[in-house]
Amino acid sequence: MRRLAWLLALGALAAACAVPLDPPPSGAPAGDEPPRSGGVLRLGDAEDPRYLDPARGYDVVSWSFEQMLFNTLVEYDQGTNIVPGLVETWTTSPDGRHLSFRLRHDVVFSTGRPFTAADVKFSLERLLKPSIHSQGAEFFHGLEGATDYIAGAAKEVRGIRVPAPDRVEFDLIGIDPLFLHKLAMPFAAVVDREAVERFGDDDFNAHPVGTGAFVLQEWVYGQRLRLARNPRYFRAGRPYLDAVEATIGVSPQLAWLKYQRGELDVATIPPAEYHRVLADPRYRPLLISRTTLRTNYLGLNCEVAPFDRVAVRQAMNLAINKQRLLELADGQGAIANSILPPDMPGAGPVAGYPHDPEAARLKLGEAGLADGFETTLWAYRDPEALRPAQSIQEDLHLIGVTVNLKPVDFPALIEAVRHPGTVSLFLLGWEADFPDPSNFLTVLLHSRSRDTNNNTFYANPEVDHLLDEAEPLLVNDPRRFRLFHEAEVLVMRDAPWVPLLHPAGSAVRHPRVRDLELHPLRPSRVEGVWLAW
Amino acid sequence: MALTGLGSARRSRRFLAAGVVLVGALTLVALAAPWLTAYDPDAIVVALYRGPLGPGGAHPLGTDTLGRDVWARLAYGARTSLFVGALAMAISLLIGTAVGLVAGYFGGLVDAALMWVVDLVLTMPSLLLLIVLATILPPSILTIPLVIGIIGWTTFARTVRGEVLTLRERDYVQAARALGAANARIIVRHLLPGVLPGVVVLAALGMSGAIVVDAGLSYLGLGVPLPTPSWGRMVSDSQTYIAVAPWLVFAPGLSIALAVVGFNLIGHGLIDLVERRQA
Amino acid sequence: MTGYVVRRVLRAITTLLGTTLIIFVLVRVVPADPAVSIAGPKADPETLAMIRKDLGLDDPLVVQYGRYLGRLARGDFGRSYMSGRRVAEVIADRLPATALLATTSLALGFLAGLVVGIVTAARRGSAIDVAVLLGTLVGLSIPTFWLGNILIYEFSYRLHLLPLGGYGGDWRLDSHLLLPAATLGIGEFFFYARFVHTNVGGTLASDYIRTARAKGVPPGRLYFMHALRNALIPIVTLLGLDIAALMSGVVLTETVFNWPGLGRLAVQAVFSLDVPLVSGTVLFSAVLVLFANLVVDLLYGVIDPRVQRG
Repeated sequence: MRRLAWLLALGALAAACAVPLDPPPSGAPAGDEPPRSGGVLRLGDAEDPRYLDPARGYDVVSWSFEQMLFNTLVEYDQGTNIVPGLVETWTTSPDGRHLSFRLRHDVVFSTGRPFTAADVKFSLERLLKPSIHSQGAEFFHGLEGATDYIAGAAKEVRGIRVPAPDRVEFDLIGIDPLFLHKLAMPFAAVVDREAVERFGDDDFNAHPVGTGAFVLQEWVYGQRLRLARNPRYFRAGRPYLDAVEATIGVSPQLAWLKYQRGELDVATIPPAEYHRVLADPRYRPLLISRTTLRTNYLGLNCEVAPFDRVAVRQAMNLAINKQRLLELADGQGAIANSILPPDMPGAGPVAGYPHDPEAARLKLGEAGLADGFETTLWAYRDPEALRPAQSIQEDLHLIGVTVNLKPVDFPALIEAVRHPGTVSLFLLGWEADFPDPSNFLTVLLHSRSRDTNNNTFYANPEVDHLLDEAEPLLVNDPRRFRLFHEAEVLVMRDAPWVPLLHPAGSAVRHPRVRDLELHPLRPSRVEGVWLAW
Repeated sequence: MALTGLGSARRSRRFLAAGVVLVGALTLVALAAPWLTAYDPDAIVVALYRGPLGPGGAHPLGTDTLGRDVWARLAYGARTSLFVGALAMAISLLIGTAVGLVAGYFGGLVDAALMWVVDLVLTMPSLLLLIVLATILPPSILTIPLVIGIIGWTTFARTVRGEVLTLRERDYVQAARALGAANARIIVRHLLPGVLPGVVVLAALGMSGAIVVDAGLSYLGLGVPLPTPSWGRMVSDSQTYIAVAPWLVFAPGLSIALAVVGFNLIGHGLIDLVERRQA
Repeated sequence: MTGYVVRRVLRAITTLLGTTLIIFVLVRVVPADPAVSIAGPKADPETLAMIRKDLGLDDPLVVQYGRYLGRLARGDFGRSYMSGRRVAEVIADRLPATALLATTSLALGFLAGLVVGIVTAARRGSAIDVAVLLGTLVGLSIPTFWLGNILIYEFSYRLHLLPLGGYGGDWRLDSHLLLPAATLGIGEFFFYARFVHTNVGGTLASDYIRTARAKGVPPGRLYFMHALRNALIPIVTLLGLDIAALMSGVVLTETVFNWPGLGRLAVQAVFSLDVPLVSGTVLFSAVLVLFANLVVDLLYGVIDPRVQRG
């Protein structure tokens, strides 16, 4: 009886501590109304976007705003297909090394100045300029004359030609089936030459001028960022919104509370609330979620003992409880058993490793390490990233492997994994820059990438050969994906990685927000979003 | 900066007693942790993680955001807090007392130089300096107390110096100097015992200070490395869950507060008692 | 008098130089390669080498320090790696938020502490005395970051009374300022309450005050004119020293409440290994503290000429 009273008291206390979980007030139910013009989309962010300058931004927040302010020559549709952006049509030469684009005639910058091919050349050359320090420059090193330009030996990039104000042509050093995808990256957005010259490269970030659906109206650092409709936008009728307003300094918890009160139009669900939200039927129509083209993985340094032995690496794969990792991520996403995310074009089924601690122990025994060993796991410092790290630490403890955790900042982590012999075990993720297996396999697992992103220093000549063969093949050539798949199977057998999860992105919207969709590769396009009231 | 006592010996003894009880309980929990809980503080004990579990059943304080038993982490966390606090305080004590003795005794240029260094350390915003230091040195259960200790010695130094300035005018010290005793001998045999009572008070207060600072560092993510349980870290790990699992934040914070109160009670209780013994 | 002022100012300057040296040494030793902070995760070695050359990161340390001092003298704190903006600008942006928080907390805490301290000072030796001593001891033991979280939980989540952090940019207490100011201010309150209580209480017990009372001076005047004036000197000194403590308290409070001030900026900068921003912020705080201490010392020298001989 006593125990019951105690439990009741606790329950009452818990109930008293309970916090309401109300979705934002809704209006008329969604029907088939046509899009309505007007209204201000209200967003919340913890920090100011790092950049609005397309040459510099390389994170989700910066890209989301850049997409509102600028356009690229080509872009993605709802999925991963390339469609025209600022161009009307294009042709590719038979040998694949020359591309010719015909630009749209109806595009002007937000200042009113007509957009021409010279602006395209200017934007790309600016991207390659050493003083800009752009992380996107490397994607365009394949242009003829790019290296000379970067080294200062030439005043321009001869591989970008402007034969007419409405024509721009590219010459590549070698065939690059992914060149169009590279042009679809926000790095290749077209900026207004006059604005850059007027404000200078560094301050263009605070005074961005592009051809996009919105213009920067106001940016008060740490408080508010407001983008207003560009009346001169070349897509008639778009954007539907009058403006987008982002309140800065809003933590995820605050954003969630504001969203519930109807003060914000979009919010991510805090991990603490995730289960409650999912169980609440009122939220179902408001959920938007999509698997991203991302793989989170545990990297094993193939040049450092004991991970230089296949049996040990396979043991690691067998030891880790991925189901629990998914639970810790509140079920958002899917367990990864392969390198490539399932939505990646060209991804095929790969036999992974089951969760089998006993088998893991046997493998360790095979390698002569039946007594276990000690090692250090480097991970990103964020509390949400350290939870899976601790789960892995515990899993490995159970098979006799003692793991010391080393939380570091992202730049430090990226730097350290690049140095041979420094990091034995690390937790990282890779998100596709464009939808092709080479963006994972070649970039991360080809032996020649050991200086950049092959941080496991994995080197298998057979795999290298398959990747090299596949690289120049055109995307619709069936051999391309088949070769990549063969390579992936070999890689999984050698186990330089323990693929962990393909995380999903999800958010909730205010009932009045319509046509907001999550894209697998890019932040959502806002120009098609409209508000029902 | 002289600390003022509580005004009456009886009150001081009461405070001291209360403090000893609290600190004693804390020490007991820390020492007896393996017997007070069936769980390993680092082990994930839930079969299916669906968020933190509330208090009740097998877990007296529920489970945390990873599925570990909270009471186990709290109990073992006491070990971390006490160890880090004690080591940090010891380092501060050693450095500060040494500096205070030397500065107070030798005076002149040595004193000026040492006090200039004290000024320098005090001018730097301590938490920021700690953050920078904690980023440079690889964090471990030994380097964190070292870092806290290096920043915190100034109070010891100033107080000890002040007392030495008074003590060195005393007859027995003058006599020893007149007889040609070595400086080191005078410092150790005559001055050190004199400053010791004050140092003891500061030691108690220093413990509480070190515990708070360590908690702050852990809260920011810079304390002892994972998965060693640390109360400050427990607060920061769970603060985003405060709406659904408030006990995850309450419990470690309350523990910190109790530990600090305990040592503060001892320290403040000792001031008057120590002064009386001296006079 | 001038001798004292000169000596004091000289000391402040040498301390300032010492501070810049410490900051310079500390941040140059920070492990990760600063070039990576700029170029980001996917940069190739050529880009990184280029950046290193651009910023002169390969020159001998002494040369770098000299260059650093020269730039500081011109007000150039460098550019933040995170945003590319000038550090001086970033600090200027975030300063108002911290100033707002710090002054409000200090004002609230100090005034409340002063009042409580004075009011309770008269009743020395009673239960109230014990209550104040015990209460302030407990109050000062509560970790700031924990208190902040609890206040958020009670007032924002459960009672929906106040906003959940963030910044309103204004002085209105019912906006976002109240909770952070209360969190930081409570610590100040306990500190000053105890100090004033003990010191004013001590003064009140002193002979000459008792004599004044015997002569029939009304109690109100007594407290404010006589007792307070005597206690004023240590209180003023304490205020000056408190600035340094306030700077530390601000770091944690701003982190808990997501307040866009210098404290949170500094923490973010350190975690991002944003070297110029770290040095700039830490240096700026040090200058503030130095300046406050200098003012306090000079004032103290005026009030109590005995100090000048020291």
